[in-house]
Amino acid sequence: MLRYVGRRVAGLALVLLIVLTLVFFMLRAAPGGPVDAYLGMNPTPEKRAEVEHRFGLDQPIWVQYVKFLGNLLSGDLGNSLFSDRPVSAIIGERLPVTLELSLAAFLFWIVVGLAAGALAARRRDSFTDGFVRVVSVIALSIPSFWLALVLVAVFGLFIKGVLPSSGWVPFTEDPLGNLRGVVLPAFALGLGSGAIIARTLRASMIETAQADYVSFARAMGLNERRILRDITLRNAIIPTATVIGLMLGVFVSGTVLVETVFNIPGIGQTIVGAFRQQDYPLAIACTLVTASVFLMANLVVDLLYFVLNPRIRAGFLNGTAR
Amino acid sequence: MVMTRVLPRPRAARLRPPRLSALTWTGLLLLLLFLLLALAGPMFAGDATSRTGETLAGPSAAHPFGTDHLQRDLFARTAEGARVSLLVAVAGVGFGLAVAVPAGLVAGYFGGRWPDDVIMRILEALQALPLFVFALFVIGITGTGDTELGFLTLTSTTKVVLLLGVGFIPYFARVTRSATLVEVQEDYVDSLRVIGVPRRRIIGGEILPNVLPPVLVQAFLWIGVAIFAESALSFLGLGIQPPQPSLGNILGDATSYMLLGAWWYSIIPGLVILVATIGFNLLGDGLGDALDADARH
Repeated sequence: MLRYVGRRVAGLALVLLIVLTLVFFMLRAAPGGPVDAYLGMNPTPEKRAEVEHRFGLDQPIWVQYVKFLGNLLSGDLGNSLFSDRPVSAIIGERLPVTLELSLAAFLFWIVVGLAAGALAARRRDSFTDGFVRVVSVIALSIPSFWLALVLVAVFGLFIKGVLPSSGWVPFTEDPLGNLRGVVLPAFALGLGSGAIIARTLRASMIETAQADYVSFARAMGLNERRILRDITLRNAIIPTATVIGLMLGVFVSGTVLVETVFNIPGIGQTIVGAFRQQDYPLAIACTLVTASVFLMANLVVDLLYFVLNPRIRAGFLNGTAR
Repeated sequence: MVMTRVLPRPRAARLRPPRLSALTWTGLLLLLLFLLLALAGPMFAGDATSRTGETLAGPSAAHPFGTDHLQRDLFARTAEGARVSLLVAVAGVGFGLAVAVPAGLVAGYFGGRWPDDVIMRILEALQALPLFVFALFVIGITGTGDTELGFLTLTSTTKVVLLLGVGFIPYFARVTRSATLVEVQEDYVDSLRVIGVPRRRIIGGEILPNVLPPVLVQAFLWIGVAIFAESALSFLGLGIQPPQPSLGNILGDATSYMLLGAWWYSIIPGLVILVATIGFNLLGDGLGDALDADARH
């Protein structure tokens, strides 16, 4: 088990290094470049040389790359080319905003999705089931950015003052205002994922309910409540856990869109800005953060299988699973 | 007690249209509506780029979807946008298939041996970054305009098609691979090997036609995902570039006018995306149920 975790973490580090190296070289191979963006139209050659020297771009690319990796190892991500502030400080400001938003969406929609899925599966083919099925298909088809736009219009135009429809107040300044501000973006961000959770749980619960061990449990005289809670739900949750892991990938792109519509200063907005301005250090740092969050989420889901399913755990311990 | 069917169904029963649920029919209907708008709409809607009305006028008889901030008819723009989004989505899925199907076939045919391993590792690397971040990255560094690649010039539209395709490759390749893994176990494959049919002919001529149907069903359903992804990219200004309308960049333009009260500008094109995605999803559910029922018989 520990060896498996170690191998996965090493693999994760390798993938991150490959991604970063690709980003580093592709950014430099791209036409234009930050010096053009920084200087504007028609800079004089002297001015250009001066700026290139200041950014360290006049050195050979290999030197730049080795320096970049060295700095990365010591935790120094460099300064943003535009605001001249340390990248780590910018990310330190922006990341908590995105994490709060994602966490709120995640928790709310996991609860709603699981509850709806379990309810629909338990009362299969009832009105509740039909309702959950129809609503979840519609919900997962709504583009998050369009839902965000609609929410902005409804709460900004028609029912003003109930919930803020744009901007962001830090939690430390105004806790209540911060929490009120997170409601609409979190709703828009997670709706589709909540629907997918509900559908997956419903489908796998229905499938599990037909398994022999469920009939066996029933024949042994377990009551229906316990069968549902300890056997059906516990086995059906595994495919759902996979979907929940994939949800984080959806959130990574979702926050970019939702933060743009609600004008929230999170990582999503920063990524778009950094790539547009070709702000090398900031763009690389954002990619690093995004890719690590995504890869770690996948790792956590894989490890969750151990907790959720004794059979997989046993397989790993006696070496039958790779 | 259900009787086990031994004899094939009578001919009349086989010719009858498949029994679909009400939801599946709804999906089919929504999809046809979207196709009607995307394929027939642009023919009679007039020019999508000329100024034909007032600035930001609500829906009326002359402009059923209203007009935008540049006095253009939004029905014409939405119809043309739907056509562009559909074409880009189909082309993206097609490109993904063109790469993924051969890769999946080879990986499946050599299941567990080195060609399989190499292909699977590449697919995993492709999935390390979410499609959207990958797209942001590529378009962020190559810019939203045309990109010269030697003798090739990639327009922003081509770039979106390629990005969507690359993003879909891992999924399509996996579906192809798992179908191939099953197919390779069939006796006929061994028989062909024994009588000395070349490997290329076995894979291309015999396995491919058997593997293709489930892959194509998947690919068809992913057109909905592609429409969704294209609109998200264009919404951020990183996809299809104006004056060429797409469902996403119309919504992107509409953002600034939402709070001025021009609700139709974003609601109606958004509903069009919704009709398409709901249509694909419902149809996908229906197909899945039908396949399950078939498998049970």
